[in-house]
Amino acid sequence: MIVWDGIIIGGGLAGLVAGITAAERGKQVMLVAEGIGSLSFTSGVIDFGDFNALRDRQDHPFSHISEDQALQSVSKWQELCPFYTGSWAKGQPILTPLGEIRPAGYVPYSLSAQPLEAAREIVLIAPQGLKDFFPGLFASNLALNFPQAIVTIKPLQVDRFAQHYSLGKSILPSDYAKYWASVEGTDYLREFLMGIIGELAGMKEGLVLVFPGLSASFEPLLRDLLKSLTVSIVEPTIFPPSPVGMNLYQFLRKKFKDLGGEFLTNGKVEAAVIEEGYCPSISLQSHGKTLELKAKSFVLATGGIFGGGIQVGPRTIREGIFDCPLFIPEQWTSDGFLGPQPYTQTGIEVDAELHPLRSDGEIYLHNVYVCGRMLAHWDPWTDHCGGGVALTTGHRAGTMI
Amino acid sequence: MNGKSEGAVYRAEKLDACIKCSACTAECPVARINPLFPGPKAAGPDAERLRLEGIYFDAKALALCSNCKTCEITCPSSVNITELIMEARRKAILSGANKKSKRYRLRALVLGRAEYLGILGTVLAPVTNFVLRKKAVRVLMEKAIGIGRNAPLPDYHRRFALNTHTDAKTKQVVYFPGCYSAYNDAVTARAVVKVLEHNGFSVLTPSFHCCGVPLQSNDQFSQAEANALYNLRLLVPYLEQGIPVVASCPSCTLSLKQEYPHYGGPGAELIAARTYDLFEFLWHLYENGELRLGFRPSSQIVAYHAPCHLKAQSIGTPVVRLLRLIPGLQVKDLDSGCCGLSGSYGFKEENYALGMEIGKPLFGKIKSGLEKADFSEVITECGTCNIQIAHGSRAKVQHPVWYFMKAYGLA
Repeated sequence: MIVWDGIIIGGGLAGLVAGITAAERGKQVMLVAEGIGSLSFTSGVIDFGDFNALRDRQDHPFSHISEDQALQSVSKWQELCPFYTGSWAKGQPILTPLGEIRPAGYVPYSLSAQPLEAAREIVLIAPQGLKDFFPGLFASNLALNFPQAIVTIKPLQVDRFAQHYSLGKSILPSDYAKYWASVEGTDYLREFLMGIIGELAGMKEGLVLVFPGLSASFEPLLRDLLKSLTVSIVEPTIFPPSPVGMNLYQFLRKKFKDLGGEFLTNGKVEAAVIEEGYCPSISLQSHGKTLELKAKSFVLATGGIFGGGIQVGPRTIREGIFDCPLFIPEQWTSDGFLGPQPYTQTGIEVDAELHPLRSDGEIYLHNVYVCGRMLAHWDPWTDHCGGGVALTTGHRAGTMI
Repeated sequence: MNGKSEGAVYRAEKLDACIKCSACTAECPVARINPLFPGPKAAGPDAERLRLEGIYFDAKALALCSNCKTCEITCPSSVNITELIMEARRKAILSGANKKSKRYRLRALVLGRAEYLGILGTVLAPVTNFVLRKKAVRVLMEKAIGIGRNAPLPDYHRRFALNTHTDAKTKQVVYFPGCYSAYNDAVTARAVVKVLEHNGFSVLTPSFHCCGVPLQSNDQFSQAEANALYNLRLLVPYLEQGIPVVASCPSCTLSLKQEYPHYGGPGAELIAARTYDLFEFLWHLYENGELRLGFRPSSQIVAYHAPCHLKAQSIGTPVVRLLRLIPGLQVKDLDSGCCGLSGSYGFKEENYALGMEIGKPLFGKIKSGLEKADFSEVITECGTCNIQIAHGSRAKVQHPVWYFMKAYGLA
């Protein structure tokens, strides 16, 4: 039976980065994913939070990553996705789906809200029927956040979605984004945007357009179009499934395959063989057959409680594949719905090489590396470092294969 | 398992597992272009809750699903969304809620019976092909039974010859050619047999009926079940001897693996575990050191389109792995979604344009790749993906088995 150099379980950011890193190093790797990875639910933003403060926190995933290693992961990322912008020292503003501002780390450049800081006229483009988009609320938030600018709403309709409009059916941001990325869509957009610029010719200096559901950073046709215009366009982040997240997922999956990696989709890994601290093989159910896959090493990137990597029952909580020992806080919840919640710290404790550890601190499995949300002792929501942990630990895991 | 706990498992695995993330609808090729289709989440798990309460919404909306199973591959919680939709369609037919016009009922009979068409078409193949290429005939077919005038109907050729005699001393394998290979592309079916024989197998092909997928897609669920039971009866003696079943068409393979076990009857328990996609089978041989190697080198770069029904099999892409064993041959995975034909979906007049729109990103990728000489040929295992891609991109498309024929020096 073929022994792969590495098998990565999980197709989110951490798993894909691990796969790409290993494939680039010439390793023969397979990535097994149950469905579409969690990336399609994300905004595509890579945050590191307060990296150095988090590094100092005992057992935080960043405590295993030096600043140099984090910087290396970032520069690899920017090599992989040259359309990402950001700087290590200073965050940049981006827009939330409701038109608020939040600081962010590395973002697809069309998401950077920096141009808005000097705006004198902001035009919010409101594509008709765009799902989960509230132009009135969005515009009033923009007006509050950028008091120096005049905010106006510019509605946008296209023939392509005429039937949706007449049915009163909302349009997924990803469907709008796919249309804009097509030849017809880009042509339509060119004319529309030139029209606005023409109308506001006197305001050219401080004019910024805010355009939800575009995902221009990933699409060559749109990139060229926006480059040719004389105004800045800012995309807000979007509620899931977001076109930027979906594009990033497809982009990384393609990259992984182009590097020779094999992508096994619709595969839920259910069991692993464990022999004396090593895992020789894992298995998944494939329509009545047990598909056994052997590898020299494995990367566990199945997400945490929400990703399905940690299975929670009425009286049980376990990691579903290797049965890795979990850190489980005594008290699960605390007051303050949006504040830090202890259950988020649940996960696998690891050593500096990302090996899962037993409760006595010894290595549980010598050829398994854990990355991303599965790691213990962090809270992506209050630490603001979800993408950063996935990127740095995914990168590290990919170099361990 | 008693009925009650079965129901509980069903709910837990199918309905309650859905976290309403909408990823399936965002990836659905049909929902993207047809606003009348509510999308897999709404038509599947959402509406299923209402259906369990006896509330049925317009069954016509369910018929817009192309059964490509992209939603099932997408779902991060392993919900069998297409299965829910197809089951609701079956019930709608039984309840008479989805009465079709006479014209469309006739069409369902024609498109569902790929097999009878095949038998008819192959009797006088040159005549059939000549007639089907006439524009006037196609216009008439559209007017009479709603088969799109521009839809890429396949050519017919001499029928694939069956074989039920084998040398019991050699290793045996049952080959399920499927209608496309049997009637429209028998040369490829013979190539599959040659590659298997080259590896020391004697290849049995009993007189199977159509696997049933086209029947299901055309709402003839009881006929699909009858076909499955017939095929299972033919297969039982081989299954009981442990002889593997190999299919070269991903839709046939998926139906043998996924649908047949549900029909019960003899053989139903064995079929999924003994059925292999052709390249899944060859890969097993390779892993066991039983695949003949000594491939002739090739300098070609080929682009590979993974059919939707192959992706749904949870086996990865064994053909890509195998092709990379051929020295010098380079394979590029197109990774550009569904081709838009989905069995007979794109043949229908009301779906033809939708199907072409669905396949557009794939066609675009192929056209630009060929122009830039990124690759010289396109391969895919699925017969209908093959004709749709050729139709949409004008590229030459082949079944990957031909690369093994060349590499073995058999072609």
